[in-house]
Parts: sequence; C-alpha cells; structure tokens
Amino acid sequence: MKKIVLAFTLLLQILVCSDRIQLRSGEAVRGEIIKTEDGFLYFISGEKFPLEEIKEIGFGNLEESAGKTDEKASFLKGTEKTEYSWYFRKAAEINKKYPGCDYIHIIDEGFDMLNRDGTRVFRYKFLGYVNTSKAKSDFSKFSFYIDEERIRSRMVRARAIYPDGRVYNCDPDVFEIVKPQTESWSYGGSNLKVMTIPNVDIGTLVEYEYEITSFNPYNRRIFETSFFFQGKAPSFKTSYTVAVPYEMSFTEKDLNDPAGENKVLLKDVRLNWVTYNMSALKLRSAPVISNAGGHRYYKWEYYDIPPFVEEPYAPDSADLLPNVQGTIFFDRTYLDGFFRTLQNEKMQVTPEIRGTVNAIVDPADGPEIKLAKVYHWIQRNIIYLSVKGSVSSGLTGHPAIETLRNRKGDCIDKAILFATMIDALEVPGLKVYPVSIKTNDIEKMVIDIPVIDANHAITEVHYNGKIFYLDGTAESYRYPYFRGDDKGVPAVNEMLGTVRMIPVPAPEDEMNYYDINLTVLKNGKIKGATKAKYTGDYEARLRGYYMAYSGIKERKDIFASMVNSMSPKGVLKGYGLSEPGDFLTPFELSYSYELFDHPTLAGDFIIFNLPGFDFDFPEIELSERKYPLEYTTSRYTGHSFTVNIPRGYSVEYLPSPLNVKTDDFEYSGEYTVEENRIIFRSTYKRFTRIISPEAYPEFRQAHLEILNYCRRNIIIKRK
Amino acid sequence: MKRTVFPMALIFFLATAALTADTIYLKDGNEYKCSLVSITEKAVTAVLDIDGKEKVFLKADVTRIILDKKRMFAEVTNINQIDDPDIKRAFNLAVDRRKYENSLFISIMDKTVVSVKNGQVEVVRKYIYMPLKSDGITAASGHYEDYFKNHERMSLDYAMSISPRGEITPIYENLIEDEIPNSNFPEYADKHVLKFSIPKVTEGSLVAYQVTKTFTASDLEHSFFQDEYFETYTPTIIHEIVIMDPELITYRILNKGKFRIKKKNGQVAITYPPSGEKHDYFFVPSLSLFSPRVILSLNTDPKDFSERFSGALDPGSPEIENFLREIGTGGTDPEALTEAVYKYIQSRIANMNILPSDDSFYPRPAEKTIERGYASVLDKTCLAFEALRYLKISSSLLFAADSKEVFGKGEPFNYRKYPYPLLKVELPGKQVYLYFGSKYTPCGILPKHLYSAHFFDAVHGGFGITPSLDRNNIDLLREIHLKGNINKDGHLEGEITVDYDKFSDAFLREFVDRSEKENDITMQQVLNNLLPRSMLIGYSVSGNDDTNKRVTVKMNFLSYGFAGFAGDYLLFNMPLLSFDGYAAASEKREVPFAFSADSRVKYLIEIVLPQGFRLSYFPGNLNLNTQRFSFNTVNKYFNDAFSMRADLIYDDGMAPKSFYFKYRKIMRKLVKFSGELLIGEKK
Repeated sequence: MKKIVLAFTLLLQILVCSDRIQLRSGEAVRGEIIKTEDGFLYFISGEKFPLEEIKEIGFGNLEESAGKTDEKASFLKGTEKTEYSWYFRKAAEINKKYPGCDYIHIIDEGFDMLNRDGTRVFRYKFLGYVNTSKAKSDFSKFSFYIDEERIRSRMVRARAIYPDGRVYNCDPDVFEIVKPQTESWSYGGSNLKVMTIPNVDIGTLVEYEYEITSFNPYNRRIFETSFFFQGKAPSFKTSYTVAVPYEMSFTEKDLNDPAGENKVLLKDVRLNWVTYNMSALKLRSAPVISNAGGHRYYKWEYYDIPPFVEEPYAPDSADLLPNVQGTIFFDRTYLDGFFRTLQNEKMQVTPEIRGTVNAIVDPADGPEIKLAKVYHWIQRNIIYLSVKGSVSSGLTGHPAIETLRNRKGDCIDKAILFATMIDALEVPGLKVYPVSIKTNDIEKMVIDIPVIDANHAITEVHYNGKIFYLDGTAESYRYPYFRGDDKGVPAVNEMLGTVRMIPVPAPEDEMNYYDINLTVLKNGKIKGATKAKYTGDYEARLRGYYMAYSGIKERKDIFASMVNSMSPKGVLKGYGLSEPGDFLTPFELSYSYELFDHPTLAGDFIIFNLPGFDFDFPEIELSERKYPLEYTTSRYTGHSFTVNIPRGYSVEYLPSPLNVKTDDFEYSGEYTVEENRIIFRSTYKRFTRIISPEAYPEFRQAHLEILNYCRRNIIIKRK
Repeated sequence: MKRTVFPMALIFFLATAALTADTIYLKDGNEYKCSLVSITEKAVTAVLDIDGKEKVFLKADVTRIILDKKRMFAEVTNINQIDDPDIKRAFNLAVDRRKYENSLFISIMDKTVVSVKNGQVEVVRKYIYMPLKSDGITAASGHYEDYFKNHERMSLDYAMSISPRGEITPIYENLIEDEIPNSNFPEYADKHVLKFSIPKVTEGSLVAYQVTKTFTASDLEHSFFQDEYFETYTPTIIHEIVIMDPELITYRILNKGKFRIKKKNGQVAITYPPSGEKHDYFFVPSLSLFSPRVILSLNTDPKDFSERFSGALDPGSPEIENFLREIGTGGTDPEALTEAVYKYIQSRIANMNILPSDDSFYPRPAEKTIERGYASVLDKTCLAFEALRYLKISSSLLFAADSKEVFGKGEPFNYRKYPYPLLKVELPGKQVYLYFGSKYTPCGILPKHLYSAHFFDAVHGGFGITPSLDRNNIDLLREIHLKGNINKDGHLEGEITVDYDKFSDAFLREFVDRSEKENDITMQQVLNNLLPRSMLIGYSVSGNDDTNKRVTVKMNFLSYGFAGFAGDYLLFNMPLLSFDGYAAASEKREVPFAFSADSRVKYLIEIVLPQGFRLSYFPGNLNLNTQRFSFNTVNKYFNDAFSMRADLIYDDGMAPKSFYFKYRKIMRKLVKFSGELLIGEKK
C-alpha cells in the first residue's frame, strides 16, 4: 500500500522545486511548505500535518520525472536485432575463452561530466550475458543509493533480452525505497531505490543504463573520478570518459564567513589523472583527449579484458586491477583548507572538556603519561558508533563536546575529541592532530593526486620533535601501540597540509614471547610453567579478551583449555595474569600444569616434542604467486624452553639448528645441552608486511623448513 | 509550533546539558543539533544545542530537518520525575555484581504485557539492562527489534539511559533507524528491523526501553505468536509475562522450569525466579530443547489456515502447462516425472533466502514465480505442488518444524512454529519428501534438521512427523582413504580419496557453476582441513554434476616434513586423525550436552615407510563406544607399512549433562591416540 502511495504521489508531481515531509508512518508527502504554527506544518495547498507525526522535513528538492512505462514485452527489430545477435555470439566466444564465470561483461561504459556551474552527471551503461543462477539473481535487481537533497537518479533503460529477440523492460515507475540493514554501530546511511528487471535468465543479455545528476554537490570545486577497467567477469569493451569544462563559474558560501558568499571563476580547468596497474595487461595509460562544446574530454577505452582471479592473502583487488583516478586539483591546498575549517570549528576546548581531562590525569604525571591516560580513556569510554547525516559529520565528525556528552562516536569523532582533549592539557611541545588514512585491509589510499580517499581517521602526535600515531577506536591498546591495520599506510594531516607514511613497526612491537620451563619425569609426566609476554596487536587482543572474560571460572576454563590442547590429560595447576584493565602495565600471563601421556615411552627411550611450540603458515599454501602476499603488520614470535631431563637419562637426539633468512624475515632455532637441561631458543621475526611475488618462492621454502622443524622430536635415553 | 521555549525552560535545558533531538542539515554540509522553533516562508528558526542560542537559517540553505519524536519521558531528566513503578523498582534494586563476574551485562527486567482490545493484540515489552563491564556498555546500549511492517504497528515508546545518580538521557531520532535485512528483494520480505542506540550509557548505569507492537487478532497472515525463553546466557533478575485476556491468549509451558503462575482479577501473571550465569559454551544443545519456555499465541484453527492457504494457490494456470512443456514431461513414470519437476524448478528458479517466517506463509501466484525466475522456498514448493497436481501425481504441501523443536502436550496449533515448506509426494510403493532449499540438494534428500520433524499439512490439514534418518543410512556416510609413501626426505606423498555423504557435498556440486581457479583454492582448503600443512598437487571431482550420484574427490598431495629423522629413527604421527581436547577442559557442567552435528566417517589409512626402514613402534587398536559417540580402529602392521581402518560416529541428539564427563574421558583417549608417535627404525 505504501509503495503505491509513494509511486502514485510521484506520478502526480510536476517538475518544480518541491519540499517534502516524511511521516512517522513511512509515507511521504510533497508540496511547498509555508509555515509551522500551533504544532502543525502547513503546505501552500492548505494541507496540514501535526508536527508530532512528522519524522523528516526536506526543502527544495527537484523531482525526477516519472518515465514512460514501457510495454511488458516486445521484440527487437531491424538493426537492433542484428546488433544484439552479434552480442550473443560475442558472449559465446568469450565464454569459450574464459569458462566458469558468472557472467560476461560485454559493454562497460562510464561517463563523468563536470558542468560549468559545478553540478555534475554520471552516466553508466552495462550490457552483460548471464551464465549462472547467481548472476541471474544479482541482475534481476537494480538499486541506487539516493540522497534527495543532493542527487537525482534516473534509470534510462533496463531490460532482459532473449536470443530470439524477446525483450522484457523494467518499469522505472515501479520501485521500492528501502533502508538496507547496516552494521549495529552505523546510523545515517542512505536509502536504496530498488527496481526489478523482469525475466532475467541464464542465457539472456541484461542491459541497463542510468544517470545520476548531482544537482546540489556539497562542494562544487571538489570533483573526483574513479573507474576500474577489470573485474571478476571478462569484458569485451570497457571505456570511461571524463568531461571537464574549460571554465567554471558559480557562487559558494564563504568558508570563513557563514553569512557571506563568493563568486567563483575557475579558468583553464583540466583533469589531473593517474592510472594504476595498467602494465600487467599492457593497457595504454594515457587517455585520448578531445574538445567539444566548451569541454575537454578524456577517454580511456580497452577491449578484451580477461577476468580477474583472486589469490588468497593478496592485497585488496582494487590494488591489483587497472584503474584511473582523477580530480581537477593539482595540489592539496584547497582540500586541506576545506577540512581544516570544518575540523577547527569542532575542536573547541570547553570547560566541560577541560574538566574531564583534569579528572583523568594527575597534575604530577609527565606529559607522556598524561597522553597515555587520555588515549586509554578515549578507547574505553567513548563507544564506537557512527552517525552520519551530513557532509560535515561524514568528513569531519561531530563537535568534540557532543562526542564527549554522548559518550559515542566513530573514528573521526574520537580523533577530534582526542586532539581537543590534548589541547586542553596545554602541554608545551605536545600537539595531536586528526589525520585521514585508509586501513591496510582495503585498497591503498590514492596520494599521487589530491583526492579525498580515506576510510578511517586516527591521530598524529607531535611531541618533542617526534611524530607518531595513535588510534582511539580500538578498546584495548596500551600506549603507544595502535591497531595493526593502520600500519604501513599514508596519513593525510589536513591541518598541517602534510602526507606522511605510518611505518610498519619493528617486529618487537608486535610480539608474542613465551618462556617455558619443563621437567620431564621418568614415568613420562611433564611438569611445566609458561610465562608469556606481548606487545602490539597480540597484547591488545588478549587484553580485550581477558577484560571480557573476567570471571574466575571462565578464566580457569580458558587456561585449562590451553593446557588440554597441549596434552589430553593436561591438568592446570595454577595461573596468573596482569590486570587487563591496567593499561599502563604491559599485559602478561603465566600458568603451570602437568602433562600426562605427552611423551612416548619406548623401552629405554622417552620421545617428545616441545608442547606449546608450533607454527602455522596457511598463507604459503600456493607454490607460486601472481600477486603479493600481504600481512597486516610485522611479527615477532619467540620461544625459550628449558627442559630438565630426569636423572639417569641423557640426550640421545636433538634436531640440528635451523637458521633461515630472507629480506623480509629471519628465523633461528637452536637446541643446546647444559648439564641435565636442554635449552631451546627460537626466534621468528618478520620485518615487512608485503612479500612480493618475486620474493615469495624463497620466503615460502624458508617457512616450509620452519614447519618441518617444529614437528621434530627430542629423544632422551636411559643411561 | 512544536515546543514553546520559555526562558526558564531554556535555563533548565542549559543547566542539565540535556540533549535536544532535532537536527538541521545545511546545504554546505553542516548539521546542528537543536530544538526547532518555527518555519516560515523563507526561514527556519531553532535553538541550538551547542550554545542554547536561537539561530535563524535561510530556508534556501537548509536541506532537511529531522524531528525528534516526543516519546514517553522525553521531558524527564531525573528518575524522581518518573512514575513508572517498574523503572523505579529496577533502579532501586540492589544488584550483587559479584554474582555475575562472567557477564558483560544483565537483564534487570524483562516484562511482557499482552492484551486484546477491539480485535487488536497489543504486546508491550519492557526491558531494563545493566552493563557490568566496559565491554558490556556497547552490548547493552545497542538493540534491534524485529517486526513485520505489513502486519504490525511498532512503536518505540521510550529508550533512555539512567545514570547511577538518576540522571536520564533519552534517545534522539538520529539514533533510531528502520532497516530491511533483505533489501535485495524488498517486495518479498516483510521483516523490518528497528535498530537503535541509547546515548550516554556508562558502567553502572541502566538502559531502559519499551516497545509496543499491535496487530489484528484475526489476521491469518500473521497470527500472534511469541516464544519466550527463561534460562538463557543473559542472567535475568525479573522476568514476567502478564496476560490480560487469558480467555483469548493461550499460554503453554515447554521444558521444565520454576514458573509461578498467579491468576487474579481475570489476569494471569507468569513469573520466574532470577536466572544466573551459564558457563558452558561447548557442546551446548539448542536452547529450544532445554530452556524453560512460554509460548503465547491466539488459538488458530488449522482448518482456517488451510482454507486461506488453499485459496491462495493457483491451480490450472496456463503458465503451469507451458512450464511443464519446457521440462519435457512426456513420460508416464511418476518417479521420473517428479524428479524432472524437482530438478527443473531447482535449476530454473533461483533461490531467495527468505523463510515464510520472514515474509508470508501464503503463496504467491505460480505464474509470478515462473515469470520472475527467482522465488522463496515456499513459492518454489507451491509451484512444484501445482505442477505435480497438473501431472496428476498426488502430493501434500507441508510445513515442517525444525527437528529440534519441542512440542508440548496439548499445545495449541500455531503455524509460525513450522517455518519449512516441504512436499510429500505419493509414489508407487513409497513416499518421497522434497525440499527446495539449496539447488544442489539431491531429489528426495532433506536437510538433516528436517528429518524426524513435526509437520502439518497446509492444504488438507492433519499433522505428522517426517521420517527419521537411520544412523546406518548410506547417505550419511563419508569415506576417506589416504594412501601414501614417506619418501627419503620425510615428506608424505600420496592420494586422498573422499566419498562424500549427501548432506555435506553441496559445496562440491557448486563447482560446476564456478571457475577453475576458485575451485582450485577451495580444494586446497579441503586438503588443509584433512591434512594440515599439505600441498595440493592435483585433484579430480566426479559425480558432482548429477544429484543422483555420490560425489568423490581425489587429491594428490605432498605433506612436507610429515616425518622427522632422528638418527636411525623415523618419527611421525597418524595422519587425518586430529582431535583437540580444548573444548572438554572444564571440570564442571551445568547444561545438557549435544554435539553440533552428527556424522559417520570411515577412514582407511595406508602408509609405506621409506626403503630401508621398518616399523618398530606403533599404537594398538582403540575402541571407544558410548550411546552417542564411538570410535573404533583396526590396525594392521607390516614390516615397512601399516594400515588403519577407523569408524567415527557422532550422534547429535541431546544427552544429559552427565554425558559430558563420559565424553571428557573419551576425548582424552582419543587425543592421546591421535598424538601417538609411530616409530620407524633403520634396518
């Protein structure tokens, strides 16, 4: 019923500026709003609604026209029939060349046009051939994200075409507006407009063409383009064209004076573009440039692109696919200024913020302790929640005081608050800035041209000449450690206008280290004690884990399970751990145990491997790689075993030392004997997080040797 | 005017720093939290939250305004101003937090009041939580409430946090969203999710919210049904159900529990004593099997359902005839015809993962299903029913419950307890059950959870139980054969052959729809699961293109460093058998026991030592047998080789908690056996 009301209401609209309200019942009403009075909202038509029943009021939205509803089914004729018959043959040809793909991408055409007044249009055309039921399901539905205050979207055409020429058209007037489910911590996302392409089937062509007009861009100067030339499906033709005007002319709000407006004239506008990953497919990077109608056109066009096949543990596919990125800026001056203005107004130190900071730190604390305490407080006291409603909150979050009062915020909110709280400390030489990054679990940030390309915000700390980074979004990182997925990526500091690389930390800063003392008895029982130390991601994970599992019984069960996994009849004798909530103390744990039946007793021999010494490297399963192997961060794993053997026994066999090293990592393992003790030291250090395909074979072989090594047994013999 | 803002109110607002809830969004991208004062032809006036000052915006600069809903307690800032006795009771309750050291948060109150007024069922549900740890704050402040938009009116009456000092912070509109889980097919899924997050929740504060759902009592599309559990993993102190109209709303108690039922003034009040923490996380059966439950529903006559259902079916439409022509149903053998119909529907109509309980228990017209080419399981089942009816093959359209569902004696019928549509086909000499879930499921095989399942007949009425799955059924059996040689470097080279059981071969049947490279990666993972740290040299898959055939996989592998040399000795562990005692470490048990799945696996492992070595030490047979678990081996040793046959059987039925201790002893023996070293010695 609701859908029909909505569609019907839209059909009745004429193309004028029109306000709208959305009622709490879900229905939308459009018209010109003239006033509110006595608890009611009035339209010019005289219609009125109680304010209590209204959820949202929108102003001045241009309505999209209701398109003509095509017939349900028709047939291709004449040249069009010939053309599409050719496409079917082409699809068959590509299928033969690249079997096993869900669909074939026959035409993939994008067009981005920036208008003189800063508005812009994006048009896209797709023609594909459906191979599987997955593709059939995927292409039966088409959806746009909508933002009625800023963009207008229009389905130009959408249809399914059969080999016999039958065509089933999508009815553009039939759609649903839905709010798709998002993460539990995410609010303020856009609605989706969902339409159906009827009768899509395996063996049909699916064609759609749409247009998105940004009639009210949040900033007319910021124009960024992006297009990828390869995907999981093979494509016949992929092309992308960007058109920018020679000149732009528009008015905009004065960034420094909310009441003011500036007339802007930009001359000689050009596209600043960069391409990536073109050489692997031998694609020409430079576009074909032409001029027409006051615009400069940049066109990239390619044919016969093979499908992209993923490799496990490889970088994000967007880092591997050929693509082009573009902007009309040639330096970051404007962008940084834009961000800076929005950020500055949110980073105001208020008495409430100052009071909160003073309650967290001790006046006697040194600067770094103060910094650490505020860092820990932000992690533990501001719940992660993302509420995006506008560009301002989307790009630069909410005012610090708001985040503090709500005790909720997302990455940029936390970064803004953290920086403001440090400002409130007024420590000479200490300054914290919010910075934009892209976490290393997705594609790399584009920094070769000045674009807004971030998915996360953290903080850059400047203290006494040193620069380092902290991330308040996690919940259990001891200062100065921060999330692993922030490592090895660029950080854009808009306030200072800099771009710096966040280094991959030394392996010792991503450490798990075990000090194990074992006593082997003649009856095969082993008494053991393990002490473990951690830093970085390891430490944070365990700290968080034990903060959540804080009950005595739970913790005992956890340690008992660890002992049991070493040996089936293992018995936990005792355990201890540092207070996980004490962020100023490194997190360590220890436990003692007895293992029964671990060694094998074979006559005069006792044979055993070292319980708790094991490695697993699932990432080296491929014998060769086309793409790099990517880790989150560096790694250090250390073991130190002291094994007391029973009196009357001597060491019969110990594995030889193992030392392996490449540019990316090193490993050393060695057994020695001291009187009645076997000492084993093992150190694994990986310095980098990306292993190139060229370095991979040697890297893999070295890791296979480590796996082999940790399976080895010790043999002791009765004298 | 929404609110009249007086100077005193303004001061009060500033003094308590209460959050206002309206939000204004501007065209330049800025937004302001505020309290809307007025809208005129050209201007919007609001009092800003950040400084309490009135600001006038040009209407041309504003894109939209979100208005806060005036919910209950919207004007309240302190607990003393609240007159709700439940909230006051919860606030004043002295909670001994030491009793809940393992919990992130506890439920102070979970209260449901059900009434019927003017043909409308109204369910008012009140929740009050207390986070106990920092991590519990996130868990306690964010919530979801499901509802069905076409049938229910849902209202979030209030949601707020209450600090230990009694300060109230109500929710605001930006933190409430109405979302659709299945946004790809919105015209199908009726289910909506109201997602909301309560601000300013800190350790020791309370989170309180109330939702009211209203729907038409006579609505057969969506009959009232509520299933409430009283012993879960969230400790609860006050748990109550109040039925205002017990002559209309039926309640039934399932599984034993310490319920107290009071009948007074025509109402029924069901209470339960405080429930504590649960500490068992492994081998826990479905809560439905043992947690005390109360089912509330309206009395539904199965005949009413059947009548409505039958009326929605679409017999004899011409599209069915065309559809059958496409299948090529020219033969006369009913079994062959049934299989042809099943296979064609599965291949022709793509699946939408929507259960009747998410949408509607009533079918859509069959021609719509054919036209769309995608449909829910229910609509595919109905299409098959119509097709078979056209072919004059008798079948019954059933709705089945999960086999783990519990039905109480005399429990009134409610179709919402039976969410799985099935077709029971009458063939000469037998009955065949069809389920249109995964397209890779062979004809006549049901998912395991639909064997021994209660059902009712949607068209003809009547109840029954689907056949049980014989533990010795060949379709349950998986056979794994490893044959390998240890080479002079200690690596194991060989072949693993797996004959899959029909309940876990779907991922291999999907291979026909996927690329070679994707399949290569999957097979490497299959090998890694069987034999960790091994490399796949090559593989073949057979039988996966025909659902009547068993799927067999052959993998050639190299297990690097399988055996280690220690002087004259060669040491290695038994491959394939990898058992871990991690999950059976706890010395106590509070809840019953169940394996997560059942299975039957036969192993045959044959390994040859490298030339010049003979076997000098090896483990004996292992025989472990209980009612729910058994593992038996027959080991044979030769001079330079050995073989082991092993049978592993799990039964996933629920067992009493005492079985856990039996299993613990077994697991120790099993892990020891799998960790045993075999020793070869140089001749």
